[in-house]
Formats: sequence, C-alpha cells, structure tokens
Amino acid sequence: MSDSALRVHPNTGDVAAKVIDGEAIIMNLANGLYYSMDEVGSAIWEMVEQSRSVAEMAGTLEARYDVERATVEADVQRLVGELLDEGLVVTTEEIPDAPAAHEPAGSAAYAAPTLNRYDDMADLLALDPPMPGLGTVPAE
Amino acid sequence: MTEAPQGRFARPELAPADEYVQLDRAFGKAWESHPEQRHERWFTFADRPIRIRVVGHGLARDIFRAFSHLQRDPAPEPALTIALFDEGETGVGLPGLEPSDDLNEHGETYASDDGFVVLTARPQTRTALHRVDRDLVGWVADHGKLTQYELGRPLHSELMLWHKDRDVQAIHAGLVARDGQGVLFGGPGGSGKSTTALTCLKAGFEYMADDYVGLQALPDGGYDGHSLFCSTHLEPGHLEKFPYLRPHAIPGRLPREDKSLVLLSDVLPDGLSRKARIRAVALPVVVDAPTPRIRPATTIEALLRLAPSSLILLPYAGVAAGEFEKLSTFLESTPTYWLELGRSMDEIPLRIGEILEKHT
Repeated sequence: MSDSALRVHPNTGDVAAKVIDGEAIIMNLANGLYYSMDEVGSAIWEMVEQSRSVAEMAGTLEARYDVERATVEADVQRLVGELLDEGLVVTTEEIPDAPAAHEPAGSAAYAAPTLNRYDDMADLLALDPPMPGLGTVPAE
Repeated sequence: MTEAPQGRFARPELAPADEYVQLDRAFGKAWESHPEQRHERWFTFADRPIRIRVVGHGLARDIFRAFSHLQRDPAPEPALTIALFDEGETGVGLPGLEPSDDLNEHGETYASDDGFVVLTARPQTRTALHRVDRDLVGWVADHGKLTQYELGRPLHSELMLWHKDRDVQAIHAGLVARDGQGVLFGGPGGSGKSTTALTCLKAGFEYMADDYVGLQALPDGGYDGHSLFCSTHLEPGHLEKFPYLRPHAIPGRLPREDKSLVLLSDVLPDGLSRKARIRAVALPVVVDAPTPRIRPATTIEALLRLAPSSLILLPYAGVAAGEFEKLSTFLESTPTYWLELGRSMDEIPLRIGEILEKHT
C-alpha cells in the first residue's frame, strides 16, 4: 500500500478525543499522555475519524486552504505517522461508505499541523487500585 | 466463569461474590457480638440518603469525620448501606484474611463476571461493593494503620463507582458557592485549586471541595456539583499560607504522604455545604502578578485543564471515553475563565464573586 492510500482510524480502545471550535484534544487513557492540535490538525483528526486515506485528506485540505498539494500531502503523511507512533490511531483497510464531502474551493491561510504533546499526567499514580472494566447496572 | 481473586491481598479460594457474602456474615457477627461498639449515622451523597454502620469506636470516628458535613436524619430507605467493622477492636476477622504491613501498596480490585460485585483489597482493608443490592461491606484490620489518604477520602474508589452508577461523575476539581450558586475550579495538582477554595471558604463562601466533585447533569441542562469529602491535603509550604488550618493538620506517616491532611469539619464546619448549582468554571493558574485577575478561557483550554487528571485518575477502566464526552458537554455549556492568582490571595474571593455576579 502506498503512503497516499494509507488509512487510519482512532485507537478507540485507549483513546478519547474531541474537536471543539477548530481545536482538538486527544487523550491516551492507557498511558496518561494527552495532545492538542489546532485548526488544520483538528480537521485531519475529524477525517481520521471517518477513516479517510492520506490522499483523500490531502485533497480536502488542498481545496480548503491556499496550499500546494505536495506540501499538504507531506504534512498529512507526517502527522499520520506521528499519530501512529503515539498509539493514537491504528491502520485500517475499511473504506468508508460515503465519499469524502465535496469541498468548495477556498483560500484560507494554511499552517502546517502540529501535534502538541503533554506528559505531565503520565507519572501521576492513581492512589486507588484500578478497577477492571465494568458494565452498567440498574441503579435504583 | 466468575473471576477469582488473585494477588497478595486476596484469598484465592473465593470469588468476589462469595467474598461479599463472607464479609457480610462477618460484619453481622461483629454487629451482634459487640452492641457496645455499634455506631450508625446517615449521610447525603449526591442527594441520596446513605446509612453507614460501623462496629468499632475508633473506626467510626475515623470514617465519619470525612463525611460529617453530609450528615442527615435517618430516611426510610437508604440508597446505599455501608457496613464496616474493625478486627482490632472487635476481634472478629475472616479465616485466612491477613493484613499487609506494607502500607505503600495500593491494593488490587476484582469484579464478578457480571460486574455486580466489586472487591477492593488494600493493605489494611477489604471491601465488597454490591452494585445492585446497594451494599458496601468491609473489613478493617486496624483503623490505627489506615493511611492518610484513607482517612481523608474513605472508600474513595468504591464511592466513585457508586456515584458513576447514578450518572454522577467524580471529577478532579474544587467547588465553592454563594447562596447555592457555584464556581468550579479545574486544573491539575499544584494549579491553585486548594488555594482558591480555601481562601473563598475563609471569606465566607460555601465550600464543597478542593479536590473531588460529583458532577451531575440536570434535566434543565444545568449542572449540580456535589461534595464528597471535607478533607484537604496541603504541602508544608502551602499550609503556611493558611495559619488557621495549622493546628488541625494531620501529618503523613508514609514516604508518599508528603502533605498534611486537614478535615475541614474540624475547623469551619458551618462553611461546608453539600452541593451547589454550577454557574461557571474557573481555571486557576499561578502567575507572578500583584493581584488576581480573570479572563475568558476557551472550552478546549478548560477541557485540557480538567479532563486529563479527572479521567486518567479514574479507578474504573473502560468508561473513560464516555466520561470524557460528558465532561466536554458540560464545558461546552458552561462559561469558563482563567483565574490568574497573583500574589494577593485576599483578592481571590473578589474575582470569584465577580464571576458569580456575571452568571447568576
């Protein structure tokens, strides 16, 4: 598989994430590390959640921003590599049912996506023993 | 097949559900055989009546203190019955159940296959929470060896799970209020949650917490914050800022207990409160400035301050993603501010008052 055809999706077993107002926060609950990404990075994360390929993501961003295709595709590949290295995503061969949304041509200013990493929680030990996975029970 | 307990604190021959039955029988034996050491009080946890029964004078004193601000009159039906007995005080134990003197051990937790019974084994204690029967029964080897953490936050993980089962999310935050209208403080350890909450308490605010708050979504889209414990843990330098707390400080005994424990019910019992309606979130941050000031924060900034320590420290696995989503929803619907603490602690309550004036 070429790098352009690579698809990843969130590692949902360990990772929780949220995109709000063009910013993303991603938490790796297995090791205590957490991350943030600004506008372009959060747009990429939303497409990762749809299992879009690197090429599809680059195409969407090229249409939205004032950026060369080669530049944005290299940036997406780099960011996806970082997400894989951090264990935040896993590769998938599942192709989404719906095609990538048509993106009207735009010329928004482009800034290369950055994955900001925070490790201040990683060494924090829970003082309680961790519980095993538990289902729900009827409360009252 | 039911998962059998294993590990240094467990009795491998018994599954969690059987251990619950054994603990319940042993408690009954202690309760019947030591009527002179029976203690029963009622408390309110997350708006629900809770009955706590203890056999053992010393254990009762230690357990009730952290919840004393939540005490209430008896109710017809408890939403949870907690039943604890002290082997050292009653002589009642369980065959094969030995305490560990290595108090640095955090312990282990096991659940029955159906998840109904959760067994928590710590060096000096063993508890079994029956999530369906609403019973929490526990053995304490010697209340005199309970850790500072166990004295300040008794049954912490068990109660976090009980709250979660009732859609009350325990988050790492502080909460103070005026006339029931609250400001929640979010941030990791050392960010200034305790400083802010304790300064507000001294200034006449209602105090719910400086560390853990039960967050409950309401049908009208708002949120209540519930107090869990009336304890605060302060580093030595931090304690110096609050001279009125110093006479009540309980020093730690273990290497990891580098803070002093203060049970605020011993100091300012009238200032403690059970719950408040949350009107805003403030994110304390230590800055070198003459006076404190507030400025708006984005939702994502608030989430970055609140979520990591709230979720990573959750004692129950497999639910954090859902809790993260709930926390996000809460912050998206709640005004959020940075609270730059500065050097003038006395002015912190003024800034909190300004936030409340804007949103109540």
